[in-house]
Amino acid sequence: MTQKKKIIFIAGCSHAAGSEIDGTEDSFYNRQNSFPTHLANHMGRLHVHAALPGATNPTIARSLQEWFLEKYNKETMDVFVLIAWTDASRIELPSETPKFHNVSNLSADWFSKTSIEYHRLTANGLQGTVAEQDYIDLCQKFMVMNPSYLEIYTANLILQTQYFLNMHNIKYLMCSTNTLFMTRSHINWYKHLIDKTRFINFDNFNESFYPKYNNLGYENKLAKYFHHGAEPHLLYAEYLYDYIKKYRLDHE
Amino acid sequence: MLIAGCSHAAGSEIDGSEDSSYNREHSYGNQLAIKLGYKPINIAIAGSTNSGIARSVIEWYENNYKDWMELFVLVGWTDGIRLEAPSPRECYYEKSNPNVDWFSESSKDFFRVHIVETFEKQNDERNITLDYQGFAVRNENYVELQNAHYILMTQYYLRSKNIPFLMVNSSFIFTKNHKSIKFYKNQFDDSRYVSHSDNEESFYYRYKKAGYTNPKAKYRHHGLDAHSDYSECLKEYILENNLQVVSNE
Repeated sequence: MTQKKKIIFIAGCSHAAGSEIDGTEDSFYNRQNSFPTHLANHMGRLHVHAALPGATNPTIARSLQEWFLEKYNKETMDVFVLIAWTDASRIELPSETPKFHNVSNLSADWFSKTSIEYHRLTANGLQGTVAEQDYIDLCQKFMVMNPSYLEIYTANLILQTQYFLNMHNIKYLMCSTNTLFMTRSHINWYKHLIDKTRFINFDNFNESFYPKYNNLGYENKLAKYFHHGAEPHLLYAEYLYDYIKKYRLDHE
Repeated sequence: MLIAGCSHAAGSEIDGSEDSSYNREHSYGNQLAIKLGYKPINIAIAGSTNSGIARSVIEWYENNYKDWMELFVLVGWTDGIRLEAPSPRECYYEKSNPNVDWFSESSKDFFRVHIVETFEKQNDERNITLDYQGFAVRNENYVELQNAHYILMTQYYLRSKNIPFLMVNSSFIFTKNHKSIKFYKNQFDDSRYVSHSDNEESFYYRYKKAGYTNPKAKYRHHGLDAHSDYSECLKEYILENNLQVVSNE
């Protein structure tokens, strides 16, 4: 019997993609030095690095399912999944015109084809075309006024992903790269269903990738936005690997 | 058989009242349960949203399921355009659903936003309702995608627990058919989600189109004849497709 190919599938936003390690948004160097790739090396797994700068949580959840549909073969693959959730405040709106996010993510190992159908929106700043502006203003106002609604949506996506992976008996680890929830009481029901062993530091967002190393004083002089340099990525990969070993998360 | 859904699954207005033990006993879900030899547990709530329905299934299972149970789950999804907003105070929907077999505690944290609203709500909820309505009307595609997420979350949950289930639509759910919904619809388990993309086959519209009327109903709810016929159709569908057994697909 031939041995199954050991793969780690990686989904997340710019932090997981290693954005701005070298000062650019996306590059092979960034991906090779990102915490998910270091983790893949620790675990002895080939990486399918599908993290995308600007990804929203719906993008992340969908890209995982899309990859499984398109590529996964349980007879030939032994897959471990790393999901790095991003800010709950980002949303994704169905778009009438194609949005070519792939153009700014040329170093990704695999790109979600469905992403082209969505406009990604953060709660502030000018985004989209002039024609889209009224519509975007309305959405941004709703996003600012209703953060708990968006947090609940993210909680649903985390559970959907957890159940999807359980259904397929896939080993996984979730982490967050920034603050996911503002600890609102409405999220409590969803929180208690989330598998805390497979979501590292779920209740302590100071331990999320960006704030954790920001609080420790790490600075990235090459970064224009909020992204870490090479060393936090190395350290976080070791931290995740120790956690995976401690809880035997890579075992059946 | 666990029966989750909105007023249609609760049998609302079969006897002219919003909720009664008679309505529940004669709802299509309860009739189906009896026909297939299950004890019905009807947790459908009038006015439910799809997010609330998804949550109620998971919450019931997490709090009530025992190994000795042979469980089948029937979910009747509701209008796609209803939303649920985190509420600044506790909501008591069980007051208007006194005959429900079990009530989801988590639903007290949310109030429901319907596109047609009568505004009996208090001022802060009124403002949130208007805000949500404005967003939903301009973002129907987005709201439909959220419905697809709730359905998939429930489907994956039930599959991960090896629980046999059947899903139906009580009313229109996906109407816009934006290209972005296709990926999600493709993930629906076609054999366990009856006519998910044919709104005309949803419970209410199927029997409306067939000429059924309920003179006792003030709102849009069917009478005993439609519930009985639908339970028979679902029974045949379940037996023909062997849905009481979970295969390792």
